[in-house]
Amino acid sequence: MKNVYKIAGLNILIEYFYNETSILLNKFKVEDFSNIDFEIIITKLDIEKQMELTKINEPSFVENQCILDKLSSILLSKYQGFIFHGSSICYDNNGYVFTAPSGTGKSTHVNNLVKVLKDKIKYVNDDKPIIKIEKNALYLYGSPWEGKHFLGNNIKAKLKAFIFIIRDKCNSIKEVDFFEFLPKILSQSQKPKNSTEGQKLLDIISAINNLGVKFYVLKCNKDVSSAKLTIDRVFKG
Amino acid sequence: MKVKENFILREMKNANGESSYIVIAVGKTAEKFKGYLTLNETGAFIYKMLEKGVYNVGEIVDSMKTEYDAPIEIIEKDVLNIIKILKDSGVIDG
Repeated sequence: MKNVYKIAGLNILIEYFYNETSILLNKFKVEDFSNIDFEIIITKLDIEKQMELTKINEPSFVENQCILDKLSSILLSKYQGFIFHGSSICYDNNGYVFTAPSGTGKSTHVNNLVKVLKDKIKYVNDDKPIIKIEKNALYLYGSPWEGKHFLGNNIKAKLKAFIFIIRDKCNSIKEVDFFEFLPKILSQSQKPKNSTEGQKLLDIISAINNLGVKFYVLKCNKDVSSAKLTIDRVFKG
Repeated sequence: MKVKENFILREMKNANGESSYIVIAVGKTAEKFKGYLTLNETGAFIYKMLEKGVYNVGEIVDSMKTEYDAPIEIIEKDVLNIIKILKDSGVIDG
């Protein structure tokens, strides 16, 4: 199967085998075959390697991971972009990414924000948004990898803040500087495959320091009241 | 002694223009070496020598004597300290 998809503002011709992949990518499909930025062509060998690596025996499950891998490499090497692990939303035309190790409660917190702000908030991507530098500003984009609840849209927002979540009994928030946040960005970014990609990732991350983005560490419980803190300090702060 | 494959050193400047250096792992090594190391100017100097590979601590100390105006005991102490950190973190071999 072969189609064009618009991901992170780029027109990508993707060639693949399985219908499961087609379903995952569908939200991003466009009809414009005339204006392609690059191609991603998945081979049987790519899929075999990925199955070997992940120990998953079902090729239709792993194919999209092959696409994610190749996309990640191209974004890093040519487009000042990278794939980030976090739940991301757009509020008042600004993008925000909530990040933490899996299971901490990022999606829960974002879900609480949605409960309070309702349709003033739009999901960009609940699992693997794309972050990209364009014309000296930082942007957040949706991606086909939207997490287990398929929450996301093919939209773009200027990234205003990163928020790292720590689970705690009480709710508190503090703004931190880039160096304090750096280990958190590194730990939640798609891991570079080699030194060249590593250098590119560090180029982008260094640049983030000068793009007016804010960083917060939020300690919170699962309660909806924790959303108020984010709204008051991050969105309106 | 040498820095193992798949580590990279990078200088980062904060808003005040002050430098610090970080070491991250890439590729398969990143699966085990999570996070990163921070090094100061001295640490980065030593790391860069270890990237090329050295026979012994003495080589590093000799190089630093020409670069830094400090008593030999302090230089040796710094070098041993940095090497211990890098060895304990699994960054260097040998």
